[in-house]
Amino acid sequence: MRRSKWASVGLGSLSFAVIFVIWSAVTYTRFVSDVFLPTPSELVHGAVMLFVQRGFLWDIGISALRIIIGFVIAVMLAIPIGIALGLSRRASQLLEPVVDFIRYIPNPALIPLFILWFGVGETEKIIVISQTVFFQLVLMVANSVSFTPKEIIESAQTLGATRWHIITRVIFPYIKPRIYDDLRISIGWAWTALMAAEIVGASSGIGLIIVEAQRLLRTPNVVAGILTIGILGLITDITMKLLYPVFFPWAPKLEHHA
Amino acid sequence: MLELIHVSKSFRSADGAVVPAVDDISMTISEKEFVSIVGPSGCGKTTLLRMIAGLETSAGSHIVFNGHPVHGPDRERGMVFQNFALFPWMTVEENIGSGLRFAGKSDAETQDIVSRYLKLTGLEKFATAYPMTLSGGMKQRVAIARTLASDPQIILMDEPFGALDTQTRSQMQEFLADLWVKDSKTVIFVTHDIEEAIFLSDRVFLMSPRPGQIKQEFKIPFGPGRNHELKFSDEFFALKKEIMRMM
Repeated sequence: MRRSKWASVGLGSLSFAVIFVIWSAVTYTRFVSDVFLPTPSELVHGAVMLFVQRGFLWDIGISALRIIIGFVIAVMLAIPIGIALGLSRRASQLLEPVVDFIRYIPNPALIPLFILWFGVGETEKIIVISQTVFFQLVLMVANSVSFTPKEIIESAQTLGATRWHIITRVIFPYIKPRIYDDLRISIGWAWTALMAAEIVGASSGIGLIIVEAQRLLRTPNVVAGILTIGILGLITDITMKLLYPVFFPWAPKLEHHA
Repeated sequence: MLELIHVSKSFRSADGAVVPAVDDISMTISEKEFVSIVGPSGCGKTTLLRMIAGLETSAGSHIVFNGHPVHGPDRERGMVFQNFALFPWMTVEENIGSGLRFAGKSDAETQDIVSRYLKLTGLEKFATAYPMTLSGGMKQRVAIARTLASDPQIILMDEPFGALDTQTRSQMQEFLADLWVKDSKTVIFVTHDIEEAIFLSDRVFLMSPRPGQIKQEFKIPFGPGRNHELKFSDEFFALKKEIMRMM
């Protein structure tokens, strides 16, 4: 167990190491022009300058805050509605086609409309995030409901549980680990949505820093911005995976499906 | 206390044919009686038990419990499932107390009853363990304790020891026989194991398959306080042979 864990960490680092070596090789030799890809040292320099001169930390904070607010709103709507969809065939027949329809519209296509409606301020950013996450998450939650074993529900019924008890004290606690995993996956979409929104129109945020640097041909800053998102995503993902057994000591390890 | 009056149930199979599962069964079960229903798999014994629990319905069937027709599941008719059906997110003590919490009992009262059943079922040491860490026999003890704790008037057991190995199984049979002496309840016990049925019951109903009907009823003459030695007695063996012949 222990050994395989270290082996997986080792293999994970190995792929990063290989990328780093290839990257260094093609940039330091100027095989690839620095306009397209900076060397590792140029990248580090660019990143430092971003933090020192451009106040990048502020933009990271702004982006993170948008993610958190937009995500929380989406989750608070998606969990109850998803459970309702999962429980009631009529509700799912009513709403699922609409949800599917909206889910399939790539979110950058909606951003111009949202800008028309809400302007380019914070409201629009948060709505873009919430909208994207909600329509993905709601179906995942609905699907998770169906994993509750019939026997568990029946045993609760013979113990005197009401329908409301079944929903709140049986189905919800049973599927909580699955929902948690759904959240872990959907937070990635939040970042995708936010970047689209910030690149199309924003006065702050990581996305703005990236397009700004691109216009000035500051490739190291572009790459530094991109890597920041990747690192934040990786940290979130690892943290959530590590906390899973803390939150759900009773649950078997889920097959992490993304 | 429980009366089945011409109870029938049929299912529709995948190709649309109507398959009778339970056919015209009538029986009366009185208070504190331990009754077993035995029969080969697929004879409809589980379906019959689920109908008594209210988990299956059938138009035109009459199941009368304490003077009221059965409509849907209720805490008065507790059920123990073959695969335990414990709540995995709850510890052993929370599982045992779950029925009391559904009924809105206070924390103090719940705690009181839970600790009594922890002791009665020898689960004190596992009070804060999660079901996934327990063996099959332990899990079924928790499930039985959980059902007993919510104090149903009748306990329906659907092959509760079917998922256990032979040794655990006979331990659990003694455990149940012993428990029944301490905390006497009306029990309907479904099994395909004739020996188990004789060992535990006051009466044994033998069911025949397709359609599921009661073939014969046997009275078991042994009194309370049975232990494993009973299974080696001539009387026990003779009964077993008699029922086996009928199958």
